[in-house]
Amino acid sequence: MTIDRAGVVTLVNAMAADLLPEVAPGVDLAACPVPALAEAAAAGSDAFETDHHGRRLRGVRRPLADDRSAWYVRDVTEEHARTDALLAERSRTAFLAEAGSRLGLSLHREQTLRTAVTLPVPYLADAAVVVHRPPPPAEDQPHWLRYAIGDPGPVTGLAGWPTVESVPGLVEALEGDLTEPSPWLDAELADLAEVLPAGFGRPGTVLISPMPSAGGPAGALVLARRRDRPGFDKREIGLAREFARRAGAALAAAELYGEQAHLARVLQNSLLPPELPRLPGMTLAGGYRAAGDSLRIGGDFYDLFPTGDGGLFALGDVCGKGVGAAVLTGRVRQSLQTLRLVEQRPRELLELLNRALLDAPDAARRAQFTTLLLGALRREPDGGLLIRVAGGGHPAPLVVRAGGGVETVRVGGMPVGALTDARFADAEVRLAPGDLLLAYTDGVTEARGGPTEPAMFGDARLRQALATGAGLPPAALVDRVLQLVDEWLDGQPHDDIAMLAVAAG
Amino acid sequence: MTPPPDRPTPAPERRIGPETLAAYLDHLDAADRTGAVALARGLVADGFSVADVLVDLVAAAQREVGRRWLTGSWSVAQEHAATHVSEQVVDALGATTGPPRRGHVVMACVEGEWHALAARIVTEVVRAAGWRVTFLGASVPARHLVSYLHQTGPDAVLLSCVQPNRLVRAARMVEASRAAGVPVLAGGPGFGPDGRWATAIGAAGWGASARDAVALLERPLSAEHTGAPPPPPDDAYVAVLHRRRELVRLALAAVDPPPDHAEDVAAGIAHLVDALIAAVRVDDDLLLRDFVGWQEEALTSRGGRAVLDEVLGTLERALTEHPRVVARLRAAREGAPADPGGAG
Repeated sequence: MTIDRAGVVTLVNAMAADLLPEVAPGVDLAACPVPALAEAAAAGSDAFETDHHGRRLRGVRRPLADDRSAWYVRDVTEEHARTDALLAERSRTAFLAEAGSRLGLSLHREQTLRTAVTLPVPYLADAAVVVHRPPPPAEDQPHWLRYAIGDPGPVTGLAGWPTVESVPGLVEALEGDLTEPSPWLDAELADLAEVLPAGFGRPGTVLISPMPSAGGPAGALVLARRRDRPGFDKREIGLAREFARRAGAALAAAELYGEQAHLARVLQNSLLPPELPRLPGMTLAGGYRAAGDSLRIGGDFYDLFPTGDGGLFALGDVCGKGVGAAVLTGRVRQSLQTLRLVEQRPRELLELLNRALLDAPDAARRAQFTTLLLGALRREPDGGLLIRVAGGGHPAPLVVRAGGGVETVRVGGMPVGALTDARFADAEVRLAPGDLLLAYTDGVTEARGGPTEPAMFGDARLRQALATGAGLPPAALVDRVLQLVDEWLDGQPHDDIAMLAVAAG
Repeated sequence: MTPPPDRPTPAPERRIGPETLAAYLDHLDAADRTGAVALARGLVADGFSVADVLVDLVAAAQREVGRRWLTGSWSVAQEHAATHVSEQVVDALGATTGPPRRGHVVMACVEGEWHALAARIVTEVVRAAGWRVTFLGASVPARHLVSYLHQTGPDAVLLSCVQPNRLVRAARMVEASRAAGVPVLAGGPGFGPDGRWATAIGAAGWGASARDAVALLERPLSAEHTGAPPPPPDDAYVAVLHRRRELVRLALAAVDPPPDHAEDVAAGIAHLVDALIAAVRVDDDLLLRDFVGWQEEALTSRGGRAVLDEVLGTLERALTEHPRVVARLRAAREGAPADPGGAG
């Protein structure tokens, strides 16, 4: 198509006539009924692109001699559709990649639910709601979690079965029935209003997708769009279903982890060192650091039982690490708890414990033993403490005098639970007010670390730490030793560590 | 800084005054738990908020305790005993806070950090602002933090770091939290002046005080602060991190301190190497320069500037294949306050 210097069309070829039937020779191009072209002509620009009669047209202007020019117009409908599809595919891939990485982050159920409702907004919908049934022991009531444009964060609530049943397709999705989800219009949405934000109005379209998982349905994803937004097209429905599937899988993994974590926590709570009871006339503090694993339980333990004239403490180390050792630890603590009712003298109690442990049906097979200190604490009239310590093959406790001296309380004895004719020993020590006794496990002295060549923390460093901390309250001293050992370890793995400190006064 | 909205309204003239602070310090000096708790409770009964008492009394007193310890007027034992009393005061005031009505946040001290009083104060101030706060304790190993986050799914982690040489560990904890889908708010001077290094390791924000922590939590936390953290700017980071022990050994051998000082000096060198690695991680020479200046004072009795120059020189020679790291070391050597017999 060519135009003269006044902008009037002079010549139109067959292709141009087909694409732009409105533009005939003699027409002023700047006033032609194809707005994009008219604009380009009026503004003197060199290109235009427009949708015209169901086609996508792209034109460029090339100057000719004598100030005339030619417009070359092409039908780019297919090319354009391909580009659109490519861009859409790209954004879909980006969305799914983002969804995959974000959904994979947390193993916590609530956290995963929050991610599942925030991700589709605004890309897929103006509001997203996950309706889910919390795992037992919670009551089987559907809950919802919503995130909509304008919400500062996800909002939660209890849905109740009547609401759920009133929304077509929701019950089916919740039961995991893979009904073909379809966007529906004009259905009875009155009850959905309670889960949508105030002012959202009647949604334009709603799409419900089940969130399936290996262990059964994890919930249902409800995507709602406002009335002024177009409905879901086929591609978006596919994307929503794929997203719901991934969210369902992530939710199932989180639920499984939650179950396991609950189990571990129950076990952990029964095996963690106890809160020490307050006993008159003395101050006690314990310190505990489990080796490596995230369960934070292990083979070291301490306990304290009140008695008529004071208390009885136990501090021990079951051979082995982790859950296996922790379970035997539980058994030793349980046995002590019971046996002390019939025997409160430490050495005799050790003998009784030895028999009890060896008498257990599977004792021979497990071949696990325990090193242990038992100490009877008795208040003295002058405010001091008389301590009788019995030992079963455990590192000797140390006494820190108020003046800074550190003494070893030699106890001796053989490990508990290993031999039927094991012999145990005991020793007695007096604490004046301000003195302190520290019982510890070998995790303290055998901590391997140091700033250069790995070396053990050792007795000398422990004694020095205690000497410089003489006079500190037990809690502060235990913290100080824990801190020094931690610095010594400098992030290296370590064995279980337990300490118990008691001071007179 | 926005004050927490639920703060009671002590008139401006009713701030906790220096006399009250002095009286509280006397209780600390005497390790008098009962007196200290009674004084703090009395202030709350007088209409001061728990946050006021914790920030303007307990935290202020703790700064003074630290100063007395640094200047040598208090022994380690006195400092420990005083801190212990303040911890009990924090416990006592914490017990007066009502049930939570907002989300759940977790407070943790970076692994290796044992001075937990500041973190406990933050815990109670944030709790007083209505949050459910779990205090995981001093020196929290990264794996404990991660397992806790997966088990409880909190809204945010508050991470305290006091010394910049622990930034590498802090970075590891931030990375672990982000990977668990939980954003981190950083706090404490370890993240640099105005917390400038906090964002480099992926924290969502930084605060200097307990009140800042409350203000930071007022803002919505975005999901962009979860997932992979910003990567280290330099390949040398991983290389130097791997050679950490070897570098400490080399520098110690070069200094060759007398045996009874060897462990102190070795620990000092290890801290300096950590500060170097942190400086590479956050891409800021200031970190190492400040740290070297600070070390110089700490090492005065052990040879001071000469020892530092020997250490920095040895590290430079050992790391020649990483020119940018060498440049940092040189900048630290030249930037540190000059000493008559020193830099050159």
